Amino acid sequence: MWLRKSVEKLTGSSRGFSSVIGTIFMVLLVVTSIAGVFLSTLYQNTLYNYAVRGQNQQELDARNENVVANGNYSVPSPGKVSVIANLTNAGPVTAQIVNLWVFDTSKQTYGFNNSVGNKPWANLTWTTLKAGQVLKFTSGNATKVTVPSAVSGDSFNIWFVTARGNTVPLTKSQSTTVINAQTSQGIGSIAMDFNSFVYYDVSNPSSNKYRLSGWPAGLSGYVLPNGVNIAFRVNVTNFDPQKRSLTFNALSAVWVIAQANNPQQPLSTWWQIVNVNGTGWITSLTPTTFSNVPLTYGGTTTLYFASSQVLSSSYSKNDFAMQQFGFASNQHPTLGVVNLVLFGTIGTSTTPNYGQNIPFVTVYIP
Amino acid sequence: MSLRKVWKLLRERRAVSVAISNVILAGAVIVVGFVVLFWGQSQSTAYNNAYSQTMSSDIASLQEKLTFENVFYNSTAKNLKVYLLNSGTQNNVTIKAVSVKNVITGTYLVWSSPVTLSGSKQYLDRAQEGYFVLFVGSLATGTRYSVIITTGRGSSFESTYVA
Repeated sequence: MWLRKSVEKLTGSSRGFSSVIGTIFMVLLVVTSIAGVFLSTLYQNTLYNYAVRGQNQQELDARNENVVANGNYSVPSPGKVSVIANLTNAGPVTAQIVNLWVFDTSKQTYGFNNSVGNKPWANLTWTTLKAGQVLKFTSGNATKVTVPSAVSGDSFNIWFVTARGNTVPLTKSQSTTVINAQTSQGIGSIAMDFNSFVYYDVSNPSSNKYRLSGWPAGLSGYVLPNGVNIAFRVNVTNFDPQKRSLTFNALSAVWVIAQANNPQQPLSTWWQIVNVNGTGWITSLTPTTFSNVPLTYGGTTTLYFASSQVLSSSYSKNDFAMQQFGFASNQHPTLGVVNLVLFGTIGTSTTPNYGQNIPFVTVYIP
Repeated sequence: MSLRKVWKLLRERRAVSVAISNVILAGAVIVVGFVVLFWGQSQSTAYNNAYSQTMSSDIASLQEKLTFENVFYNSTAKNLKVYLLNSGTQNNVTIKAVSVKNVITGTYLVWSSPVTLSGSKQYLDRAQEGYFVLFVGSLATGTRYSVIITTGRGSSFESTYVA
């Protein structure tokens, strides 16, 4: 009732009515204008808050990133440093490796490899490490860094850089390396893996084609057949105390000395080193087709021995020929001692300057 | 309103003058009101734009992050080679100025602007690396120095090294 009267009174006076409308319009305009400024300011503040929050999260992620690099390095040739490492993501966030730096503190030179982030062998577009993941840069896919004037024996600082900007220093694998190096310093630069010693029957399916039967597994090398063409396989690791690379040439061999029921006249048989391809076929059938076998420091390589002839142009000049124990019936069963005869070059030398004999296993020929 | 009434209104001088003055007054008030309104609108728009730009700039600056991958002093050439990685979330990070300071004494040795990055691109996008070379003269061996980089957006990054 009161409202109705008030409205009638208001609408009855045109002056008062227009003033009210004008005031309402003015207030609306002022409110709209202020609200626009307020909302815009609020929006900008929200954006800023989001950015601050995002940045804080990134800082937190960067602090939580914890990649551990454990490994070693070698200088296979002057100016080239080969880094072998296990990268372990010990943190809760995914990490990405973008660069590898090597600083030669002896020569005050440095180099980097920023293609470390792209490793096709790891099936990764980038070297991305999930939480708890381990990425292995083994001898076959070690990362090479060009460092001017670097040579074996120099001291190096090595570190990885992650995409978040953290640096991960390479910690040398002291525990095993030192022991192995000290051991090998006593007996030479090479260590051998007993578990990898196997033998293969060598088949000759067609003229001038030789294959290792049952490759790659092979048969346990501790009991060997007589009168059968066989080949040997063994894995060796380079623990040279001076961290030099090695190269084995055609004179390297497996030498078996058997008692053959006559201790005064033991019989010896030689299996010379050969090259075997990725499907078990012997590829070095002539001296010219044999390739020396390289082995970087800290790396492991597989050696095959199958030929009765030295595949060297400057030595016997003979082609490949299969080898077997040829004991007469009264000469076996017998025991034999196996020697790994390694010869070649070490370090930067181009002429033979390395030789090592590892008397490593005993075999039984029934 | 009949013609007679209009005629009567026109002949009444006092009434006409009051009406005209009211019209003029109302018009003036409306015009001034609109002027004030538009001025207010433009001021608030200008404020909004300025605030928005400031915020965008602050956000971009906040999201910039440069990592020093390596700082190397060449005592023969007497220059400093600084390797950088854009580890932030902003593209187009430019380097406006670089200064080198003796950490112990606090004295500035070099202030350089502009700084030329390696390659033709003078900026670093996300996850990109680059370096610049800065002539610094003779530095005392074993002394700690710091390199301070100021980006185009005004962010500052510092790394210390021992010559």
